[in-house]
Amino acid sequence: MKILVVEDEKQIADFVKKGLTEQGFLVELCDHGDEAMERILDQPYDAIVLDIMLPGRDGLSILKQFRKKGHTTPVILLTARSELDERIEGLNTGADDYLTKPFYVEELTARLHAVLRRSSDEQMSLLQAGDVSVNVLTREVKRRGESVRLTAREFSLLEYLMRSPGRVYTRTQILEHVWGYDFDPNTNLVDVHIQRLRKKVSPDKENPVIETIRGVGYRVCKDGAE
Amino acid sequence: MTPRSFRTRVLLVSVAVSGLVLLGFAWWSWQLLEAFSSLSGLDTELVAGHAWLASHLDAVRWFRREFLFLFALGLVCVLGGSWLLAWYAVRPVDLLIDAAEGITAQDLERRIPQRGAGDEFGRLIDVFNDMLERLEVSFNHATRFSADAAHELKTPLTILQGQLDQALQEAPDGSPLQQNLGRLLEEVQRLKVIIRRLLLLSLADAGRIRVALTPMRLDELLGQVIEDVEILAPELRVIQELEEDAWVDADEALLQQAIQNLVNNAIKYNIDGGKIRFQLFRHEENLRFAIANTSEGIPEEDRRQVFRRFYRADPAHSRKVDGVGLGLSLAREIVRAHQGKLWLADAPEGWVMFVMELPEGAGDGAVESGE
Repeated sequence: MKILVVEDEKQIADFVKKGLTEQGFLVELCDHGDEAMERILDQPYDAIVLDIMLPGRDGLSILKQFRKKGHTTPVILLTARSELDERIEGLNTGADDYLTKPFYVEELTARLHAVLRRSSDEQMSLLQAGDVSVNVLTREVKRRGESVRLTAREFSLLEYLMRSPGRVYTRTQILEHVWGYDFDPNTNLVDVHIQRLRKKVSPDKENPVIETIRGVGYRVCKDGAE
Repeated sequence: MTPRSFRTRVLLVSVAVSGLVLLGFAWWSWQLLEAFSSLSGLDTELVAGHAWLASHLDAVRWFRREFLFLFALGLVCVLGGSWLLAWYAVRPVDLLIDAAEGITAQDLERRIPQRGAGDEFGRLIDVFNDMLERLEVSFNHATRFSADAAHELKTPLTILQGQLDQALQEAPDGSPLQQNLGRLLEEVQRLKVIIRRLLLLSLADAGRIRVALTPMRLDELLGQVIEDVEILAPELRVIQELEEDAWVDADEALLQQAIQNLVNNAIKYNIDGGKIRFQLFRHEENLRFAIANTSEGIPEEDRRQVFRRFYRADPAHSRKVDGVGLGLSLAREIVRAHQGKLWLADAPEGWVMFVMELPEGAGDGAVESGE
């Protein structure tokens, strides 16, 4: 999967490249609007990650012209300014998704997987870790072939952690993503849910699917993934 | 002085002055007419000698005969003229008032149409428009400043968060280094939230919070929140009376934040072994969500302040709660952007209650808007 990342802030571009490369994407960087326009019209990419504020042409106008010429390559916008306005404008202009700064690279990978799946019909909706599998489309969870019933919260928690096996998530990160909390209510909300989830998906204590990283957070083990 | 009474005064003064003039003129001409009539009756010779008088005698007689009618006509003219004068003189003020009333922080670009007159009102309109111009410029500066500041802060934050996250992923599991990085990430999160809220508030000030509305069930959202409360604060007793099938058109992420802020408040300012009550009911065309908690009470002078930015009921709690005291003011702006209202309601002794009112939605299958 070849991805073009158009971002003029070098340090952001660097960690995005590193994070995406780790996930197996082939990443090219570009730091100027005019150059980006040439490159996306020139070469086929599987997806484009486009910052809105760029030297030269800005992201929205690049996107507009790109779509006008009939290209359907998925585009994910990175926005920083008035997020709500740009979100709406961006989606109207033909972006497949948007991500507000500051973002975690893992969110970007998840969005990329989502838009790529959407555009290529590929069956990537099955997440697997250890003996647990999650079907994102049917929202079915199975452990050793037997289905497990989860509440809506438990499902989104499991799905979130299983999207990037091996990645450590802090509690606030989980709270923000799964609960939509934009503040830390200072409790064990996450821990309680993780415990409940563990009881359901790995009742035997050996080889737990969800590991605790002491003092930091949680992660789904990488072994046997994909 | 209200514009109406100003107009009445112009009318009265004008009627009085021109009425007096009319009366004086009438009296004088009556005297003259009397003099002429007696003259013409006594000495026709004299009159005949005066060619002009003789030729106009009929007119003088007609004038005398119709004097009362003419006087009444004059009076009507005076009244009508005065009314016209008063209406015309005060009309620019009315225009000014209408125009000024229509101008809010959201459309400062409006101007009062200049009617081409170089008079005092024309100057007033010029001055007023200049003032609006300056107001618009500085208002735009202020909102742009917040937006720019937020943007400028977001770039370093993105770098900080991205690099910290990367370092955290690479650090040995459970090591002091990793724990440290985890704590730093939490601080970045706090900064993110403050900046995000300030940006949202500055958008609200400019009337530019845009919500992407989709139909959703408020009772289900509240159900989930209540589930969380039982874990967040197991020592509190939760009472719920939720009407079912309560649809609203809302931006789910934003509305959820507004509600979480209210719930968080109800937990933090509760008393030991206290209660939280959730009610959702229909009120006319709207849905009302009332959240009440047992509390030591809010002092009267603080009641008006709770929605103020950076306000905290209890400074000692501040950091523990949501960091910045923007939660309630943001919640109110979010509800406003949904055409709703949020207020601190009167509650029985020992309780604090907030009420959120939102227009009831048509339910699923309704027109999706926003995109």
